[in-house]
Amino acid sequence: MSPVLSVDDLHTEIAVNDGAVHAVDGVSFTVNRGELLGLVGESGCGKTMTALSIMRLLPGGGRITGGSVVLGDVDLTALSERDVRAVRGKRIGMVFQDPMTSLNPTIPIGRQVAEPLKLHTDLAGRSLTDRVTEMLNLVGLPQPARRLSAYPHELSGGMRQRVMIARALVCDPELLIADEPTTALDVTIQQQILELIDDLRTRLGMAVILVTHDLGVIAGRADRVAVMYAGRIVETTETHRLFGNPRHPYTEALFEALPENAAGTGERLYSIPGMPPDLVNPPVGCRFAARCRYAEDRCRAEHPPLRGEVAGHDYACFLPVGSAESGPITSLANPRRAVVTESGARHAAADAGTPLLSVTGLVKDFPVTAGAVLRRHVGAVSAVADVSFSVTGGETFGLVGESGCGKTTIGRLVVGMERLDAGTIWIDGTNVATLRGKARREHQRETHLIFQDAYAALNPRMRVGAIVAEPLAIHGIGNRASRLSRVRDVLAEVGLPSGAIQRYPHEFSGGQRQRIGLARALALQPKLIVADEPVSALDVSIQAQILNLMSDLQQRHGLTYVFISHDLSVVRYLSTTIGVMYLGKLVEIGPAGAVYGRPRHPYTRGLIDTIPVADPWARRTGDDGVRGELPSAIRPPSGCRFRTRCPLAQDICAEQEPPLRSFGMDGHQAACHFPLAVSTDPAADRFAPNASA
Amino acid sequence: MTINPPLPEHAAHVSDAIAAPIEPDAPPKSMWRLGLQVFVANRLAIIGLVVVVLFLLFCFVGPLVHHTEQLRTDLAQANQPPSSAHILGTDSVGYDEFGRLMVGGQSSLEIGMAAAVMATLVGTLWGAIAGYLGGAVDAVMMRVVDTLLAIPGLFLLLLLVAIFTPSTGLLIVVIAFGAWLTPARLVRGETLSLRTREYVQAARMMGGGNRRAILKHITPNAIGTIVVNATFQVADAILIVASLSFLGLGVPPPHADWGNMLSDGTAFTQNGYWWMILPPGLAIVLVVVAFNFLGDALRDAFEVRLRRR
Repeated sequence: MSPVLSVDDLHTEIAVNDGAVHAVDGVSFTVNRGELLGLVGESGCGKTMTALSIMRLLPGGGRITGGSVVLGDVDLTALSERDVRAVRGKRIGMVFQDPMTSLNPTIPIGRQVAEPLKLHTDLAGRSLTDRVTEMLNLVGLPQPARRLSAYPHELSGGMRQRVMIARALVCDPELLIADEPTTALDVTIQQQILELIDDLRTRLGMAVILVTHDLGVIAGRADRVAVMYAGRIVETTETHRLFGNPRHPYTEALFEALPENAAGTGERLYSIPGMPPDLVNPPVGCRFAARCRYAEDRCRAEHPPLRGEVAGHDYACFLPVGSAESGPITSLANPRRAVVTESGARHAAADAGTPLLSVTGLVKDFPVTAGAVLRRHVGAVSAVADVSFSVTGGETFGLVGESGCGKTTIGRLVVGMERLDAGTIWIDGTNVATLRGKARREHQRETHLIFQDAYAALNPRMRVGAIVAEPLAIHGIGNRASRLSRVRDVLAEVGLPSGAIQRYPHEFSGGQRQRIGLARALALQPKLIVADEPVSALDVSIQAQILNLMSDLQQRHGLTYVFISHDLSVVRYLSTTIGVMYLGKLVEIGPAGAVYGRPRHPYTRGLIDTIPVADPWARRTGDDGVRGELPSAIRPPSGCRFRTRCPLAQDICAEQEPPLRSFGMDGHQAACHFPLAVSTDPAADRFAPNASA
Repeated sequence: MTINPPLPEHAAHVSDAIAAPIEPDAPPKSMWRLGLQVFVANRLAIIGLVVVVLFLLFCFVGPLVHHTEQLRTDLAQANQPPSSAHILGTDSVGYDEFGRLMVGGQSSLEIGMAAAVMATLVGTLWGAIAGYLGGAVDAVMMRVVDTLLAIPGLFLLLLLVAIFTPSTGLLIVVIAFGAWLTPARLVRGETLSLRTREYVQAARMMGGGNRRAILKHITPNAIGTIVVNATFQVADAILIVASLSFLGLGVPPPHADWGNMLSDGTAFTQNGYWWMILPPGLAIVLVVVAFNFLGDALRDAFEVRLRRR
């Protein structure tokens, strides 16, 4: 059987001010009918440029400089722009990351889905509408006939992505390219969309290229995987072989950097040192050599070809993992592989202290207004509804939940960025909720918030020195010289050279910017740091560096963290206690191991089941996980707010709100009328220590 | 993994840090330097800059080199075409046209630039305060702007100039009074989006006050809009001075500016006295176009400094 698409030695360049970025540099792969190929890599590795090269949709300055892209029997690189247009949307469909910006907000979705049909087929009138309705039905949009005239803003994120998929598939393409199709979506929606893509490719028998940075997404769905690094494919094989027996050191390092592999053990994560190379002047030899723990002189001089020992598993490495030349001996000798077990110190701190942060009955509503001038109040979004928890000094409290569950609002309330409507927030013996004006501002020294997007949180017109010194300046601490020396100290502490002081934020990489954010947080020596998704915007290897740094700082300074994230494996890795939020309510709280290992609330169970695990052997059945979408917080469901999506819901759930009930002596509590029994299924325990191996 | 030898306490952390060095050899590039590079690469910007600098030299250094009588009229020498004694001839009262162009340019450029600076300063602060504080303060402050905008600009200028005796100082204030509304509205719009930026929120989270947020975080980040608008303000102000003078309400004689030179010259259009019309007209056009080029180039220069790498 000839492949649907075969890419051979593709080279793509993008012209920039001082040369050309070799974004794709000799990439070859094939995709067969009905096959799902996963293209994984960190940001900037060329995976999206490969996808865009296939579509011939390169950005300005980009051009294909060599190689071929053969679809069926046509070389797309040789076609004229006019002929390529006949291929796009007809023979290749593409789904982009953000469904909101990929849909035109001024055109009803029915017409947007019909657009490719109008361009490429003779369908019109009745038959056109029928085809669109059929397609929307196929992608699981409820009541498609009635939704044809709906505008994108009337649909939720998940529904919009379904519409995008319908539009990509409406002309029956041979190939679907999905570029990070679920990255902008919540974890529960992500699973539904991935399932849909998986299901459609079997039903329609098309080839799919799934571009993603997330190994978990690949593990469950792809037949074959190509791992990209710095514009090249470094390893390609079928999914099970890649996950079971990674041969390229980069692939291996990516797996080791995943926090879920160290969950519960407190082990340091392996972080790939350094950053990907500059693709304007790529290094000679293996491009990963500079960051590779096994690299030898040969790696830096010569480019390793992509080949393997057995058919169907190719890797571009002279010293593949697990072979005689590399193996454990080399890795032992290499000091960069620093894995230190430090679980002892971390848990000891937890049972010693008294609560540093104690929150009781926290309520926050955001008013919803209508009308541009008079601003009538027409309702309120119940962002946080009666939440109580306490955090012991020196420990980490993880707060998880889908977007819109109120976890960020809690973080902002704690650091005083929002006013609460009811409840108390005790920080170190003071109820900060009652403080006003100067006293409140004074107390803000004790807390600090770290933002998700480190770049957005740093003033682009201030030098790093001024940024880190800003909290000192605000509180009038020290003079110029003493501030400067404090800045030097904290920068050293987060692993930045003092040369950074004179530089601007845009000169740093994502991980370094988050380090600057941490340095600013440390400047005033706060007791409590609230970290709102601090690593969500980072690549997995950089994420590991920041997580390691955060736990180092915690141990050195006895810091207390409130760690907010949608990523359960990250929260699991860092937290001693975990709170699970759903629509403004805390539904489950308890020690990290207990909440993950023996979840009592059906929502927690569902969240755990929907996490894409980088393990192709993990149990994956369609019934697991949370179905449907988050209801509106303006009119939250009566009784238990989760009941609309709960598989166990009964009448009482709608009538009575379940209180938090204790399970066991370790402070494990859940708010459910029908708590789950402790699971005896070992597969369900995959977040417990040692189960992920 | 467990057989790895234990490492000194911060070893792993240190390797992480080495892991991500910023290029230690490269000298820190200042934002202004980066912006300058982009600015210099723009040919129109350089043309604009050269024209502006040449005019400044011509008007302020020129009279020191090229001495002419610009106080006493000399009707015997009136309406002379260009000659070796008078490079650009003389006007209807016998002033040397070339020298007059220099003196007139002084008033035009002074008034234009001073009015632009004043309007920009006032407008920026007004807009930033209104936008940052929001709510009732914003509503009141912006209604003031709307009200002033509702009065036709030329009418307001004519009225003010009719009430007070025109002088350079008065013209600056009057023109600035009409011009600050545009930067106020622009900066307010910019502030509305800037105040939701996380670094502004971060400053509030750390306990910073309003003044800090406006002066340290909002205004510097709106600088692109502000400076670009300021250059257009200079061009506009020069044109307004010219139109006021053209209507006879500019700086009083014996002072001159390009507007009233043009106005005087137009009386002689029928006589073919081109040397009274073309030089001041061209000067106005050149300076205005040059400032507009500068504005466009500055916009690009400020953009690039914010671009992510």
